Amino acid sequence: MEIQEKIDGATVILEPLGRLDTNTSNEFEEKLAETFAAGTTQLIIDLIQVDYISSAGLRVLLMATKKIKTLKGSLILCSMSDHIKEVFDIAGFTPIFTIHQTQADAIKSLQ
Amino acid sequence: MTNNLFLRLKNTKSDIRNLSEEFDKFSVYHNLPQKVTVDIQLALDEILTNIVSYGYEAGAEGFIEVEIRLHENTLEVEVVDDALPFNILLVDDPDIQKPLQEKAIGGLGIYLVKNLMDQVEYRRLDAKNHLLLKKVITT
Repeated sequence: MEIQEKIDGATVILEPLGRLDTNTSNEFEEKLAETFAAGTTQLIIDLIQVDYISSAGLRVLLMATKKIKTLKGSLILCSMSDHIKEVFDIAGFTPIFTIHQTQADAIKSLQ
Repeated sequence: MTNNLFLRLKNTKSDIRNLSEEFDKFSVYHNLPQKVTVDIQLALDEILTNIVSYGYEAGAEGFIEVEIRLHENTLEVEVVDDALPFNILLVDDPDIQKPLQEKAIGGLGIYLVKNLMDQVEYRRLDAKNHLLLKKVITT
């Protein structure tokens, strides 16, 4: 899966493209593992290009947020489509993540 | 393309991908609303992944037949497989209120399917699992 990466100071911004499902979530998990291994503790995952997310994708995000808490860092999700918001709500995931509307809001919140 | 999409798949991940691609084409052809398309894609992903991952003894070959039927206001998805008996309606809902540290992932996919589809029916017939999902199409 294509995952675009940007750096803004100490913050890494990852932008996965397509769907976060059974097929692609392993690759995304690997990318996150690399990102953490490189010492990143401020991470924004921009979901603007994600069509949908299945439980496999939710699992990866859950592990990421647990990991970042052990690193005493910050993980922010942004630009979620209505569908992704709905899936998050159903799964009870919304209260456990920091979610912003736009990437700009997310970046600003870390400053 | 008719109002029906029928595929007979092997219990492999690559066949699941194939189904997903065919459904994308079906959805574009019939101009289905985005919400219906993504909900069905998600349901297919969850259900078929479960069948392939847990439904068979290691190395066993099986088949999964998927029929997608478009009616005026509803989309029906019927999944018939020869995997071990598995009734998704009997799976307990995960406790979604649990806080982060205790959050459980098990059963989440099935829970999403039950909540995103308007109707879910299951029968075990002729040594096969028959699952029927219905999604109302509102534009």
